[in-house]
Amino acid sequence: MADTVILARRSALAGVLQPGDHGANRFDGPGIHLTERTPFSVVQVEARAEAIPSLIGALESDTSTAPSLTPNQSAGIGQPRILGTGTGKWLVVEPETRDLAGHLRSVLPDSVAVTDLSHARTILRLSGRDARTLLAKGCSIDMHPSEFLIDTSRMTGLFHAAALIDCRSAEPVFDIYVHRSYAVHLFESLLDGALEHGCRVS
Amino acid sequence: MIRGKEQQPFRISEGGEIERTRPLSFSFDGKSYTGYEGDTLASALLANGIKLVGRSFKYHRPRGIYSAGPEEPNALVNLRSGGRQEPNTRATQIELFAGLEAESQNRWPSLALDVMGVNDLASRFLFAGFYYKTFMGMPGWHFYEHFIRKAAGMGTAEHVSDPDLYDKMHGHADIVVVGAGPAGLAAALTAGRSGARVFLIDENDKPGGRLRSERETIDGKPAMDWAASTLAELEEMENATILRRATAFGYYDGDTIAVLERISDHLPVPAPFQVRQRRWLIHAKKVLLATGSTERPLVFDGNDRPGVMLAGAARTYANRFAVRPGKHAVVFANNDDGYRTALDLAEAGIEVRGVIDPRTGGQGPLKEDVIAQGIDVVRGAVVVRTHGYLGLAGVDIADLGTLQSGTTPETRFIPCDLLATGGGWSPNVHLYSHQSGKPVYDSAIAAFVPGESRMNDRSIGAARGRFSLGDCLADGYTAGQETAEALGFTTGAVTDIPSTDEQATGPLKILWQVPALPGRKGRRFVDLQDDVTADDIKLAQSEGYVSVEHLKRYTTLGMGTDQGKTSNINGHGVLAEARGLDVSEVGTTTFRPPYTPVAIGAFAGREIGRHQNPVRRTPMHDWHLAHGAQMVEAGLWMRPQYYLGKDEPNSREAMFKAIERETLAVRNSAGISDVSTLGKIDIQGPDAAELLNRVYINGWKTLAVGKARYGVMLREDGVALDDGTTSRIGENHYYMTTTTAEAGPVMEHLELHLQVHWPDLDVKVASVSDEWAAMAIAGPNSRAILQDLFPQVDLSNEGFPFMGVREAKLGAFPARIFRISFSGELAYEIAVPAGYGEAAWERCLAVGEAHGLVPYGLEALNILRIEKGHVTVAEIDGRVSAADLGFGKMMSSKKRFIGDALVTRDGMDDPSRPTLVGLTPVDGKTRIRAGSILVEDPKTPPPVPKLGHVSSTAPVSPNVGHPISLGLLKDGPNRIGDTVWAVFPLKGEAVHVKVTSPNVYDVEGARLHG
Repeated sequence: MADTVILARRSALAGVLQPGDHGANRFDGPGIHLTERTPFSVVQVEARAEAIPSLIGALESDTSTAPSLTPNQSAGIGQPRILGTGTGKWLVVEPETRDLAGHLRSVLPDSVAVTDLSHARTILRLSGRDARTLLAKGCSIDMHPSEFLIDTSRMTGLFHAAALIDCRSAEPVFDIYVHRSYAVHLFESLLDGALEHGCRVS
Repeated sequence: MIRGKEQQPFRISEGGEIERTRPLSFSFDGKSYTGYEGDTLASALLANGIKLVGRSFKYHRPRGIYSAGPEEPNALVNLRSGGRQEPNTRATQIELFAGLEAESQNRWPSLALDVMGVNDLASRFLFAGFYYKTFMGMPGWHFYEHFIRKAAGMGTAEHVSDPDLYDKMHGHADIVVVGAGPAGLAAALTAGRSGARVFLIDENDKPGGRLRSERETIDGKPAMDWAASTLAELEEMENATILRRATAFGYYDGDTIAVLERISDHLPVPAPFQVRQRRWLIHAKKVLLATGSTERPLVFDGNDRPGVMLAGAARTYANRFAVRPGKHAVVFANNDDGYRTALDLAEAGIEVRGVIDPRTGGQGPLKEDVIAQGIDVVRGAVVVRTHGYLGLAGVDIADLGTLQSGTTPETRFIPCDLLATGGGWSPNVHLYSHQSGKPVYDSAIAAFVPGESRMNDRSIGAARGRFSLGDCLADGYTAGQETAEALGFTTGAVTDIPSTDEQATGPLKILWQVPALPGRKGRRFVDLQDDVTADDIKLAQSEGYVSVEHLKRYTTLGMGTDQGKTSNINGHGVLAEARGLDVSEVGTTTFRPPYTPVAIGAFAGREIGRHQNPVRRTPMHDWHLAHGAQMVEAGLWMRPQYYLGKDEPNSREAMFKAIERETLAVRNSAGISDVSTLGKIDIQGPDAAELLNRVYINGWKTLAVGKARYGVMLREDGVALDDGTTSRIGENHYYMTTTTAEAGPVMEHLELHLQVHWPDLDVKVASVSDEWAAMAIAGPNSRAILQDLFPQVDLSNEGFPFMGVREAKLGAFPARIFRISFSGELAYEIAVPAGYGEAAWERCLAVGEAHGLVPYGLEALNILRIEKGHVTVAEIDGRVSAADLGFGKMMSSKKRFIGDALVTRDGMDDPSRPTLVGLTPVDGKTRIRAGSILVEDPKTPPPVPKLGHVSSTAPVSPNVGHPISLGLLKDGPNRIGDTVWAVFPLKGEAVHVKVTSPNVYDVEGARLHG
């Protein structure tokens, strides 16, 4: 049988994410910008304590980005971005251009567990002057610019969904990683909370 | 504004905080009035001469506006209409807006003529505990209850849904300051200047607190000038957040302050997308409670008549709202506030006909100012009675000493339409008490003040009994500075504490109640909202209700929407007198959140409708919806229950037809089902097999690469936790599946044990539940379909045996194929990365069409597995052991596993425990309801011994021809062939059922191999 299937992913937000301006029409423009970042490769790498130095060394030499040893810290400008999610555990994230999981298995020591989560996460980018306020509606951690700095990433609850929030810029710009099955719920909750500020979805 | 003036005969021509250029029309009980922007509903009603605003709870006595704040016990109105209707709203806190509609409550047919007022005449029967004594335990209580409930209660709720938006917000602060009176403003200012992140929370439309109601000065200027400049400085601070119209209603663990911000309540209708109310949780490092104090009433005969008002409230109406709450006033107070009130009322143009002061001496200099104005001051005297019905007509005063000696004193009548009364001030210790703080009694102010703090809080100003303005300011400046410094901020010395020009005051006289005139049975109210009198408290005490908490429950003292803000201390004072004790010895009841009522909407926020809980969707969710799936909630997931044909209307018949169609398809051709919801856990590392060996009851060391195995897990206590298959997909790489329901708990179980108990194991686990879309293809034609989908894979029984696992490409998609079966048919599960799930699903259906492949939902899946006796969470319900489910022999004796020790304890290995059986109706047709109780004979007189219960049920089973069920039955294996009864008393059902093996279809398992 001829293979006619195009290897394109279906976003969890297909049909839900409607580009355009929603909610209050603010004289100073929408306070929130919301968009989906897709397709991305998201790969979890994890090592036991004794293997962490070799994992870091191999990852840094392969990606030219040094993963931070400080919990809840991200590194890299996005090619890839490496987010610390636990002791000896990182997410390596980049726009999908290759089999990142396969590549990492080949360059990292055998003792490192490599798990492909590319399809398990939906990545939302949230920005705009009211972005911190919107996060404060659904999340109990302190989003103040003096506390939630650039390159801070935290696993937390956001509108009752587990989410990893990564601060990319003080403007502010946040990347939010959510489990795919919760993506519609989270997107709808964010959009709903954004309506009073005016929300541009793109 | 001449028209406005005519309509507001009690409005003073100048002064106050109202905007006279902005008149607002509103209605009360259907009649139109005019007020001004800046009014509350209460002040606007008083400006229009409206004194009667409600009827009391129990006796339906006429009641008027009693206070000017959140403590209001009487003036509760029904605000707005339709979905926005809000009962029991305090008129004293409703900001007037154009078109406001309010109605009085608890009266019929009208406020002036209320037929339930007959309760007042019958009041000698409606004493404390009347309902308990009269009706409880009497036959027919349920009959009376209906009428009693109808007669009682306050406002009524609306059934239309509220159209407005309510939401929630988190805040984080170094210092939260609750209350923006002088102490709170000063504290926020010094704390804010240090750079600390400060939240200032105030329940009013603008800060100032009592300063707005008094004619005081700070640094020689009106006190509100200082408040305005302080506020202006705070507003400029980036580190300060000011929440107006925001009530801190609860103080919770971890110094979390719950706040209700009323964003749009002062508007006729919120703007589009604007939130009406927002509930904050503010997480603080330190909390400064500048919550002020509440004035206590005096307790005397007829003290509830419209026209009797707290003295501080009378000053508020005159000073802040430029309203005369009456024309001819008498002031009755046990402290120097009486003189301050007389001076303010006189200044407002009200004729003050006397200040009645129970003290014989010790007054401060204000008394001389009053006398200098020609106002009559009567010392050592009290008001013993009021006159009038719908409004106050006058008061009788008498000598207190004579009254207390038990002889009938001479009384003097003073005609008046306003009686301003004050019994001293009680610090608002509510928030302090919420975090288990124990207030202590301070006899100097006859009130409770905060004791030791249990959290990082500090009460300041009037909230700790420092009532003078100078004390409040000093307390605020100092506390703000010290608190900021304690957190490491630098404040510098505070040098600018402003000066005040208050007069000294004399001590108050404790007067919990004015004794009744000998021979007179008048009512002296302690709790106006709950109609509790001093005599009720005495009666309760004489019947043995001597604890303040018992007194509260028995008499309802301190209950209701005001929670006794004006009544508690007096009530406890009256109780203490009756018991011959000091108030410090009887104590006070515990204050609990909320400080003032909070609408349920503010707790729900936006978690309403389908966002009440998060909804999880599988990668094929939209396909299901587009193809007739009727979705059903399964935990947080939405799953297809069954699929209707195109244009087939949904009905009970259509549902049963669909279920039958799908069930037969799986047995006769093939079906495809979305099983993406199953939990999936990726397990890697050299000790992976060892981990499996420890968490499952069966052995895992011999599982070959490319093979799957079924396993059962126990909890530590030996009770079954979950079941599922785990596949070995690489040398040190396994893929575990769990049930949908237990995906999270199993992951936690593994992580807990790896991190805490077995850190030596070199193994990592990761949830990949969302990574993979999974679909089960089951039925005799499934192999042919798989062969078309995966032409490159050898699918023969030899090449791909039962429990085999392969990785292969489905077209271009990477896929994993598992030959496992839940239905008992030849079956395969295919997993692809989630983003390809829908395309892969469609491809399966397109390829499978020629082989009769149809999608099937949860109902069919359930019937198929019940036919095979396979268990789910309905059986693994947290009460059963592995043996109960027939897995006793699976438990390995060659290794240790979680739960192995406690599984052998007494009771767990009792052979008569209920065990898994099949159940079929003896008549071959009656459906057995899940949850039914299994009994030997339903006609046995109670208590009927329970033999077990029905866990899962298939209302139809087209393959076996009658309804079937699974259940857990005592001594199950020995009862096969017997009959018992499945009873469901709530529905009056009793079904005679035959006990069978759990597996009633293809018992030999031949179909599994195709």
